Amino acid sequence: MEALQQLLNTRTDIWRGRVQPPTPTVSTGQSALDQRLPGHGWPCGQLIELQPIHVGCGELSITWPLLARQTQRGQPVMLISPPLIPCPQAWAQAGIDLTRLWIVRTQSHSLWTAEHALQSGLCGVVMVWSNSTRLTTTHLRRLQLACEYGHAPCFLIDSDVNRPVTTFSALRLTIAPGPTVTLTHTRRAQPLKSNTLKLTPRTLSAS
Amino acid sequence: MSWLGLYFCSSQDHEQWPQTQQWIARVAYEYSDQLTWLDQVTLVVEIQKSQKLYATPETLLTHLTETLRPLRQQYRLGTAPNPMAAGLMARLGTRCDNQASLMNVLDHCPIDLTPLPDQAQKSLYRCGIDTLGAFNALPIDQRVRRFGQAINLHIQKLYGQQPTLIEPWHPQDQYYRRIDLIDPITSKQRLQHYLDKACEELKSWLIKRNQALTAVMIRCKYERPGSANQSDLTFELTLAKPSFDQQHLKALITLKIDQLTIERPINGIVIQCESTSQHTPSSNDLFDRNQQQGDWPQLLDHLKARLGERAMTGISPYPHHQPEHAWRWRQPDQVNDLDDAKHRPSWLLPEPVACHRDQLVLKQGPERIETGWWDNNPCQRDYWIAQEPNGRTLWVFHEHKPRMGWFIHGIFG
Repeated sequence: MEALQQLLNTRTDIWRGRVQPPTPTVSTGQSALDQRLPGHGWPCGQLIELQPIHVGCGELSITWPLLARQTQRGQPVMLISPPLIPCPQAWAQAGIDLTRLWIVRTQSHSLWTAEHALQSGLCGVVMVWSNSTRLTTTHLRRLQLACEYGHAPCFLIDSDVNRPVTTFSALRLTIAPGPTVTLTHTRRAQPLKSNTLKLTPRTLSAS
Repeated sequence: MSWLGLYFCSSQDHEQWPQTQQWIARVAYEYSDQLTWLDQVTLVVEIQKSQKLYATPETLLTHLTETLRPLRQQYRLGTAPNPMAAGLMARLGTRCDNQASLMNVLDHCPIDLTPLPDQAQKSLYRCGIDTLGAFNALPIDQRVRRFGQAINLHIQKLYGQQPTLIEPWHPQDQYYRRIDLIDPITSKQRLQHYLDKACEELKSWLIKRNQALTAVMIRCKYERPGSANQSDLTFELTLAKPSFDQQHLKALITLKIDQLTIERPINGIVIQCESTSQHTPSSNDLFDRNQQQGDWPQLLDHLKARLGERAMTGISPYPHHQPEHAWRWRQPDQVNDLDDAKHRPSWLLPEPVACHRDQLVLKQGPERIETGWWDNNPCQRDYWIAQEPNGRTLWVFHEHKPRMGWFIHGIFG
């Protein structure tokens, strides 16, 4: 029975009445963060919204371990319209295989590109910056649907204060310098308890 | 052996004819690999071998006629047991399926219908020889002595008494197709329609040559050339992996066309392609788990077609002493491996931005960079890791030469 349960848990496409199968997750690479997230990791094949207060206040330090793992496994990682230039020396030092890192330099077609990259199901991770695009609920829903084609988590990074309140994403995290991560939305019914986590550089390196 | 001759009778002196010839030969190449142009307007094709494919010679001829229909050229067909006679039979529009009937037709064929040069025809007439049969009735030594070896050999070849050596035509190595439009096009839908048709032809060319496509150049010519600021509408598709997948190519063309604006009516399209024989045909192996990897180049093509060739890139370290030049946009497979243990920020600003020192708390440093003194382009800086009042960690430098001041160069994200 145990084995059957485990087997069923790996499938999201079998209806099991009221029992909600847990979304498969991948470890963030940081145990402190893993413990706070539902499912103890980044949900696979789901949209994750990251909302840094300023550009570069920690959105990379929480995603780098995953990017490094995926590129080392030979999975391509796509950065779509990053706001600044990724410094190759620093990314390589973080363990990211630069031969698997694709940067898409586009301003107007970033969401289109993300949707296609996700639908192909070939990317290890997709990170998309909305930049000046004003996000709507439709955008979020389309990206979430595209995510479900593959197993890659998709990180949507926006600093827009006027973002829609309703969301279709699996997680929404606000990031303040530090980085201090606040979980502001999950799909779980129970209220979020102690949802703010300060990740000091020590917790990051200890993992 | 059985040969089919095609004689194109409409006037062929326009400059398009060489390309049309190539097109016709490509069509005929589907029936046989033994074909050649006897002269500018006569094509002969060996059809004996491919007759097994078709129940009767008539089916083959109907099929060929159907394929040649879009050409809108007038031509006559003829068959004969040898290539030389097939050319003549095409001129006459006669079909001779065996040697006996060929002899019969040739014997009664007037000299002026043969492709012999005018000079030769005149000298034959002067001697009272007005048909090929009359010539053939002469003893062989007299024929050579009176009219020369060339004429004799030509006529002997017609009769099949001498073998005809032909140099078989082969499809050209470069694909080049020019479509002239009688009715100029202004809409993207019609352009798409013409390009789709061209794709089909291109695919059959690739398969025949056992080639895979690497790039396609398409040039759409606007009407009324010569006017000022006239430039053709051109675009290029490059494939990340050689392929002859027609559906994929069509999808890429659709994406490209979406980006274009047709300013003036187009009256001509030129399609050229680059191809390679270094490819492995796709194997749809049921147990091949790496099937997905094969789709990655297709995804890249798809994105590049919409975003442009240079939008998809990777980033590589570059050996340069100035941090703002120590990286390059480069395709991920060409990334340099550079071992550099210096602490660098995760993000670099495109250009260093001036800032005020008093708002920053310097945390770590300095890392002095002093370069360019050897080429009179001195640069002297002290790099620091600093914290902003809002808590963000920055990479800043204090420059002494050539400018003075504090600048932000990167962010530790």
